[in-house]
Amino acid sequence: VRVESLPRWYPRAWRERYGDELAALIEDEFAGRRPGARDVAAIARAGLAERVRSATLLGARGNAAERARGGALTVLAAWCATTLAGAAFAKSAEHVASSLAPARRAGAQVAYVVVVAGGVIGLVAILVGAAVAAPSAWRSWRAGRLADLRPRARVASVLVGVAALSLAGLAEWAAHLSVAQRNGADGAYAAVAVTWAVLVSAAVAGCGAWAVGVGGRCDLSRTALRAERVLAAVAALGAAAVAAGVVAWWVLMAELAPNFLSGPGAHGVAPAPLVLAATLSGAAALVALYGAARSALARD
Amino acid sequence: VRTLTRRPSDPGTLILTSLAGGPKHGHALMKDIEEFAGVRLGPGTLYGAITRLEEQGLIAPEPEESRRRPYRLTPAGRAALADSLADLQRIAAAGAARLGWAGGLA
Repeated sequence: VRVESLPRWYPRAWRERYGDELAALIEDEFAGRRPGARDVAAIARAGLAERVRSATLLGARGNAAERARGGALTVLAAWCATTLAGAAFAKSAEHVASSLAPARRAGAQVAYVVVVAGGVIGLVAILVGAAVAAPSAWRSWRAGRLADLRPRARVASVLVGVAALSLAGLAEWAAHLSVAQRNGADGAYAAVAVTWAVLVSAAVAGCGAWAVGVGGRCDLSRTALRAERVLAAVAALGAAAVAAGVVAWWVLMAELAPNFLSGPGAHGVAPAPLVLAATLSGAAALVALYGAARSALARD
Repeated sequence: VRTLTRRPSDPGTLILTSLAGGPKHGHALMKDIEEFAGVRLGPGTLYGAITRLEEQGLIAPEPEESRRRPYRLTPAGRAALADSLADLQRIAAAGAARLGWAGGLA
């Protein structure tokens, strides 16, 4: 790791103010030698913490309006994880009908409906929140305040484009495979599908990072901020419903159709997507609830 | 609002203590703190604390000298340091008394 590259862990605005000083300090500190892994990790940790702090996603920094906006943006960031968890859950649940007798499906179906309802409610709240913030985002764009987000937007666009294009190829391939082959029996397909899932995750993360960046540059009116607080709470409750539904569905399926969760094949699923869905949705729900509470409780 | 913690090793307290002896830039601060407190602050920790202290108006930047910017203590920083040291002194005095140190703090 080159010494001069270390300040890049910090956000751009911070680097503009302190970057030269930090670079000079690092040069003085390491005096020509390469920093060790521990030194790099310490600077990376401090830089990432500064990124989170400068986005007002966590902590007590800023005035009430900034903390309320930051809390709402925390919910938005958590919602990206909920989206991925929902996709992983959908993959796990897609063949449940063939493994469970209709008379025994009721409980699992209720849990499934809770996941879907939580997802729809949260998504609507996020979209309405985006619509509420759109006029302010437009003003920020006109004023050139989103210029530094261009690299982030470019990365997100490329990731979305590549994911969308590769989906066509993957769907064409999947059309020629059996259910069992699509669910782990074909190693090559499984590897490509996992790679595509990682690509989609990166695309969602990229879009989320861009959206959070835009939200952080919006000066919302008091009315808009009040609406964002409410919408953040609704989205957080949606995320919590998704997490609760995923866990309930898992518990019920383990009880009603243990074979379904025993492994990949025509009548079962690989456990990894479900473990991922439960873990990710649970963590996202906790973060979203924290963000919603921080937004709701922000007072000067 | 409490701006510094009661921990003697709080980076903010250490930086303010160091700047109480006069303006210093980052590397000079690190060396001074290591010398008087035996604590080595890494560049990330040091600049994280400098950022907070400057935001709180406890320190202020001086003109840059070949990319190295010295910082000085502001009157608010002097007051915050005095508060913090008084807290620490009270705790130290209580500890000394309970240990039965007849002469108090050495």
